[in-house]
Amino acid sequence: MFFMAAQDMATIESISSLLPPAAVAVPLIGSLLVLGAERWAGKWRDSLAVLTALLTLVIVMLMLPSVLQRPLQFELPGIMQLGLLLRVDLFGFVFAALMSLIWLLATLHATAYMAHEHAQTRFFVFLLATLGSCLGVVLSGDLVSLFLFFEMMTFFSYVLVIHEQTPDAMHAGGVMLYLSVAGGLVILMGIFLLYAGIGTAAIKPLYDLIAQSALNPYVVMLLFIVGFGIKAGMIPLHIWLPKAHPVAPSPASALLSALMIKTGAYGIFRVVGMIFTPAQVPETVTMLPSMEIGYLIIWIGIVTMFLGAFMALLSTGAKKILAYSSVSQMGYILMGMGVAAYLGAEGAMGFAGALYHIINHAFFKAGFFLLVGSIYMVTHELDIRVLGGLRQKVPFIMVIFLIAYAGIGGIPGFNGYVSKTLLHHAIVEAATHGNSSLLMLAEKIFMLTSAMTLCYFAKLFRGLFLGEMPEKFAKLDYSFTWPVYTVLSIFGAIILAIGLFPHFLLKKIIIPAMQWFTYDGHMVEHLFELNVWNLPDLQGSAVVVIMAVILFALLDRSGFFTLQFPKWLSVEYLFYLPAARFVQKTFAQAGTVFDRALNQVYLDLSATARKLCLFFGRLDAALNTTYESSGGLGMALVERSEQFDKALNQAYLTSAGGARKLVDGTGKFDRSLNRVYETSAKGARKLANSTEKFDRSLNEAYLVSAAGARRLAEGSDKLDKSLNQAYVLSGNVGRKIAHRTSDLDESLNTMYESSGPRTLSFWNRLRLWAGWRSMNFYFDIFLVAIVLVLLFLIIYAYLA
Amino acid sequence: MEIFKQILPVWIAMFPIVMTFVIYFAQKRSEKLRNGLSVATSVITFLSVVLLFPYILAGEIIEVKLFSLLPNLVVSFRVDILSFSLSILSSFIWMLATIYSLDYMRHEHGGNRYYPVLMVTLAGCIGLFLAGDFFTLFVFFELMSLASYVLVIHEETVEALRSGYKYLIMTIIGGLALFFGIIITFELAGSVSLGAGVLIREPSTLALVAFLAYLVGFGMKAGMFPLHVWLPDAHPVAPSPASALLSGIMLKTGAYGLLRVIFHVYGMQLLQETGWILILAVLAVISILLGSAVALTQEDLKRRLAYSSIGQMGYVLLGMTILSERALLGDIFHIFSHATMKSTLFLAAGAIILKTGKRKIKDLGGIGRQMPVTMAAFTVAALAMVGIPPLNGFVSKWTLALGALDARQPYYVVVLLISSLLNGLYYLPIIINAFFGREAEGEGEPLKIDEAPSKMLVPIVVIAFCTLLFGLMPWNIPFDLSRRAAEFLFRGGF
Repeated sequence: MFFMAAQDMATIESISSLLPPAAVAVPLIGSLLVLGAERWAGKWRDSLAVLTALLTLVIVMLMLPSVLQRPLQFELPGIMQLGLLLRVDLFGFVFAALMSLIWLLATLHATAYMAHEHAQTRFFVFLLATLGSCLGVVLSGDLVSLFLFFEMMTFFSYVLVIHEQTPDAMHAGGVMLYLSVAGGLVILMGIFLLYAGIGTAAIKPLYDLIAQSALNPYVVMLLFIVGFGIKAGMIPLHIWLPKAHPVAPSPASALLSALMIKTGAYGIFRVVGMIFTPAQVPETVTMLPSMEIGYLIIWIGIVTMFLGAFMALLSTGAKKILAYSSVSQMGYILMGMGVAAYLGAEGAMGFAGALYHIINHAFFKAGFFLLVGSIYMVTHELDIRVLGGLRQKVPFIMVIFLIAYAGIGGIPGFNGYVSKTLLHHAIVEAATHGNSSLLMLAEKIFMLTSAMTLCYFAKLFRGLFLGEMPEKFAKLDYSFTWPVYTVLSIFGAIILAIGLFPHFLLKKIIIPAMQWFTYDGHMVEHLFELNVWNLPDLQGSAVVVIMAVILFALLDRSGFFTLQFPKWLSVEYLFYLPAARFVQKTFAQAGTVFDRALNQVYLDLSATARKLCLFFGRLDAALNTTYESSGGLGMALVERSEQFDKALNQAYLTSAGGARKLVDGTGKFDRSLNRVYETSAKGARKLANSTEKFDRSLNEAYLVSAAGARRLAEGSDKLDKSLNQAYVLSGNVGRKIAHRTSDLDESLNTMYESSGPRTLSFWNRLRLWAGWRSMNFYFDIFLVAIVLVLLFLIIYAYLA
Repeated sequence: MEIFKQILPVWIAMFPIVMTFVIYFAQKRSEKLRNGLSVATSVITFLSVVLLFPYILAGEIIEVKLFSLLPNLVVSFRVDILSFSLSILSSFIWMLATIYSLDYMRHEHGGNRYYPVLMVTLAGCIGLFLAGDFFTLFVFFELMSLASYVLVIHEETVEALRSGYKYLIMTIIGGLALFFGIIITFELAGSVSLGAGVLIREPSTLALVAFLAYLVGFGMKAGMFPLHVWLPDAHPVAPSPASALLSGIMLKTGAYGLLRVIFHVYGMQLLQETGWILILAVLAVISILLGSAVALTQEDLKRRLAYSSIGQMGYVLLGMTILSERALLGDIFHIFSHATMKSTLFLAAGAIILKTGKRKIKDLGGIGRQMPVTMAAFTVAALAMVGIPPLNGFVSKWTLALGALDARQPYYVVVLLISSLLNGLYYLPIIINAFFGREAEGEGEPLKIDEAPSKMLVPIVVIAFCTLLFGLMPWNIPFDLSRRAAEFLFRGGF
């Protein structure tokens, strides 16, 4: 049979293709282009966004022919050091196709919806970026890549949620962001354990490896369920969802509710329904861990669907009802997946129901949000206690609403009928298989919840369309542009088409999508031959409708719809706020207090150290003082001793003086003795000296007499010589005298000859020169001289 | 070429010191010359480190012995893959921080003191990484620590001086403890060289005392609990480029020192057998949780970043205690990651504070619309801190966690993830407030703030881009270096 053949093909290598990365990249690049378009081509921005979404849809659809054969694969090794693996099988493809199609419709609707909003560019940029990351999640081939896109989706969608930037929106966005980050980390923990345990995080049946490893499968699966469950809006992790979905702009709410929460379900199913299943249908029936976890998921699903519906019944905001409805519908999907996992290889029915419901829910929930959004575009009010009577103003929207209503209510002929029927089959199968009365109870809750679904949508319908229209809304202009009509019509048409031809999708898409999962062939065949148009199922549907009518009448009568439960009853107040406060207390405050205390310890320590230093300083000063005072004492002592010393010194000195005197006396005696000796010695020396002198003088005398003798000799010699000379000289003189006498004689002769005349003249001359007085004078002196001579002669004579 | 190879490490460590004096005297001529020389110094230092790359890639260890102080106590340089990794990281960040300083310090006083000190700190930092023995390492360690004091007190406000004083006292205590450890090692092993094999092989009381002394000395620098108290005071008061370097690079010197202590002084085996490594592990866990938790309650932007550094350094310290090769790889890669992330954050915060004059987080509403590029860089780095793929913080967390699981220690992973969540809780509000928050109510006209000047913006964007690149790209130089370094250390480090 074809399914078996397909399973054989599972061993065949997948085809490498560039389409998956293109599908992820095109919206991401498109978002950047839209960002650029704001500056350079403002009016083309909207068209560009729609075209990008359209192109993405085309690329995704191009994958279909190949994916029906075998998975497409694309690998970028080395990205993040782990490699990026995209791998598209039909299961992932269903999600991708759903996303790209509804995204296109929502984007088209958004061009109308956003026309009067602020920050439009930002909205479109992040709308497309979210599309890219969402596609990445469902096209990923391993959990690491999936995680990458999952986190991207969280952050991108955050911007969509808080678009209005009202305090409400910021609060809701914050709750969503932090819970998602926390969920992401829980997933990461699961991936760590899985990867460390078996060395791979590929998305394929790996139980054979896991069974051999030391891995605890329950812990890992629970981590993934919690992590993805936050995104899936699983109770009790759903609290962000009813906050975040209503505050976002309607196209974004549509995508959040219809698609993004499905990524959570997708993740759970990939882990529990695929990774933790064996690659081959086991020979013997054994209880695998994934089956036990599947049982848990069934109950989580049941609780989620019931409580979601219950909360929806109580809500009054249209988008709030839709958000809780999403929680409830996610419960259906989770239940189907739980059954699929619980029954192991025989869980084909649960798988089909869940996947089918994912498709259906995407269409009717997106349709609901967009049509409610369309109303909001005009009224800017969505509280059903305020609104009413819109049936005359927007009959077209009312028709679409009714179609979607029939779809979600499971009315035969609309799409919800087939998936709910499959899910119902699944839960019954699970109950009979396990022979569990508890699961039979679950089946009852399932039926009740379906009735409740009809009820709260009836309430919403009445609130929006029936009753009287308030004055202020009557005057508004309820005409829409073409994108609104087109988009809503398409949703209506799809819901109807699936509802009228339920087996087409089942046989062409959903059953082939099982081929990469491990399901028993004959169960699949049974499913293949299933016809939903049978009496029991139609009866079931009728029972639900009847129950719903009764329930609605009861609830309406009792005023339940407007009942306000106290706030503290909500899970948020019962669990999350205390938990948040606990975290705040334990981590942040305790940490801060501790840190501050530590700091204080350091400061105290340094203060103490300083005190210690001061103390030591004081000690030191005291010590110093002690020393100083003791020093004073010492000094006094020293002074005393000094005085004593001085006195002693004095005594010594005195005694020394005496001694010295004594010594002096002795010295004197000695000296005098010495002197005596010296004197006597001097006498002796003098004697010696005088003897010596005498001797020397004697010697000298001899020498002198010798010298005198020599001198005498010399003198006599000289006398002789001078005598001789004198004779010579006298001879000469005699000769000269003779000469002169002769000369004189001659001259006398001459003179006698000449003196005659001249003699008179001499006397004349003398007289003339002296005058008569000088003659007298000379004469006086001559007389005095004679007297004196005479006197002398007399004295001499007297004396003698 | 042999001689070139020998000179290169000495040149790298000494060049900034020499240039410090040149810059000091150049500033008397003109500020432009001073700025130009500072940038040139950091660029040349970076390029010189790059020149080491071929040798390191070939698996060589460059050893340079300069002169011996005492027998067996040789002042030496030793460049192995780990030294190189950290040197290239720090010189790269330093280069960008210096360029950033040009515009940042234009509005500040004391540029004449700032630039020379910046360069001498660079020398200390790089010299420490290139040191071939603990003694040389100690000398550069002290040089860096004391020089960075001047950076801390740059503003000269009362607050800065107080914080600086605290820093100084703690640093001196740390330095003394380190010295004590080195002395004991020298006494026990007769050598403190990094190339001499595992130094201490026998457990003894003295060896334990030395280990504790090393923990105090290096742990002080790394901001390890309970010695972190100086960090949240000192990092925020410094000028932002200096904060970036203090948090981004200088904290890592402590981690580097501890890596050397674990692998070169004691060896993994001894530490594991005696269980001494657990002391560090416990302190690291407390650092992680405490740092992250306290960061939550901080109002001041830079103070929050500083506390975050304590937590992140806890990752690094924890990573080295796990003692599995993958954890070590993650550990060294996280040194790279944290350096790029925290530098980006501090530089971006600096740009914001410079432009707005506001430091309180709640006053920074709407700043993302006015300074989109700066805040985008901030966002990227903050998301990397939280560990969002595909940023480098995710890669290091991934590797660290798997390393911990390899060593069968899943509790560490839980600590890591709790801390990541706390990171998210204190980083995301800043971003949300910046992009989507209401602008702070002020009197009269709202302040019109434009983007930071280009010399500040370029470094911010470059490092932020590195944060993305070193997470996303397959050719990932830091990751490759970390892998080689981890292998090298695990082989024994010789």
